[in-house]
Amino acid sequence: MDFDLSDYSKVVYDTNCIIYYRLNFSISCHRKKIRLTPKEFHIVDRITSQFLNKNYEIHTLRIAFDEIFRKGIATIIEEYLTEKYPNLRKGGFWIAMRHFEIKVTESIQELKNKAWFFILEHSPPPDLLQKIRNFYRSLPNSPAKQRLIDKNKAAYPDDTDLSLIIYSQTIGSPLLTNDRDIYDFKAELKTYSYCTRIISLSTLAHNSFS
Amino acid sequence: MRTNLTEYRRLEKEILAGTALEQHKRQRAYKVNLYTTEALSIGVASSDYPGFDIVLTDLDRGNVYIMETKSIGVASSDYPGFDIVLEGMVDGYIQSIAHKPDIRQLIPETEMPTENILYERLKSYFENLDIEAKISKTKEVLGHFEKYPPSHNKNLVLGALEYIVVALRKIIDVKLPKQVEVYDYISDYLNTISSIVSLSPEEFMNKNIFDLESLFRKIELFCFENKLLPKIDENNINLENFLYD
Repeated sequence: MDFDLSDYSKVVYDTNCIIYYRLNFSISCHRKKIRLTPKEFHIVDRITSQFLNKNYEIHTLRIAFDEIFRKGIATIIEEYLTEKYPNLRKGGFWIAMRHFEIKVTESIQELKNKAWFFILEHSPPPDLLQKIRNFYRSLPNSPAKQRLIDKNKAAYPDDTDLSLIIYSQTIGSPLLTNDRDIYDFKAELKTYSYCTRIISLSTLAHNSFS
Repeated sequence: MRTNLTEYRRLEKEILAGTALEQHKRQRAYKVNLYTTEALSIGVASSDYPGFDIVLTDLDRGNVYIMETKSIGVASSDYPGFDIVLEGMVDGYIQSIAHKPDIRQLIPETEMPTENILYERLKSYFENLDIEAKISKTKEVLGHFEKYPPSHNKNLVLGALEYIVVALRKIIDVKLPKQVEVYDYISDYLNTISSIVSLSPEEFMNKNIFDLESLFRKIELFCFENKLLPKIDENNINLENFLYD
């Protein structure tokens, strides 16, 4: 790992990382367990424990937190269950989805009671948002940029992602993310000082901080 | 339809009330002459009220439904102040209404187990509901919203609709009086959901569905308390309880 935990005291989580952190539920069906425990849960759980052992504060933005409940949880669990349990589509899929949606929602709401978890009402200045959009637009064509355009119908991430990047830079803390719209361009963002540090879940899969 | 369901719920409550008088009424059906003053209308009971022939509306009682009606005529001078006399069969529930002061009632002449009347009426009622059509409609709405992108609202609504399909199947299988109530809630839920099928995916995602959720919680609670189905958000839930064709 290219930095020491003692370098910082706060870390910013994006929407997916917060969701994965609480994605550990199961239901029974035909004497088997349907588990909603993706591999990302273990990664975020492990790294969060390390952050908390070092007395980190975990921050996110209101705009990101609201998006979690509006569509974030649903997007992740629908994709996960469809891929992992295709037979569920024959019956009971939406019962399972509703069950998990409610359980994960309750679990994430509980985070608000944690002394180390902070939801910030931060709105980046419009000119700064525009500046970072222009930066993304100016990046040379690449498979990563094409994927970004295909996904967002624009050459830059949505306002929630941009706000998280800007906020993490504002407080001088790393941003933990599982979003390729962000981590595919972390070198460029760092080069032009649009972020403090981007930590992608994929690079943490087999690593830990010191 | 709502009035009919309310009628059944009142009937059920009356029967289950458990007083000695009510227990007595439960055992009998009565042949009576109903006298009414200021009758607003008398007509043939609609098909929403299976088993009843006549509906009589007056100022005090509103609609009174009567079965096995034998005659309708002008009240004799022996009953001053009353305009109309109607001879027919009423059950224990209607009988309790008939105790109101402006009704002069004859001594019961015929006995008939009210459970049989109730059963026949409920049987007829459920046959008229066409639950299969309702299940088809529910699946159609479910298919419509399935095409929408993932969202909190989508998961809650589709989960509720799948639950409703299973609940309707239970109603077909069991046909107990108490299930009329949950059918009432289900109808309300489906009517409400029908009013939002035209929303765009974005509008649907941002819609406040508190009313729908409130209705669904009633359906879920009723099914749970009557041991028809578990609650979806129970811990250690078993999905087998919710599987359907």
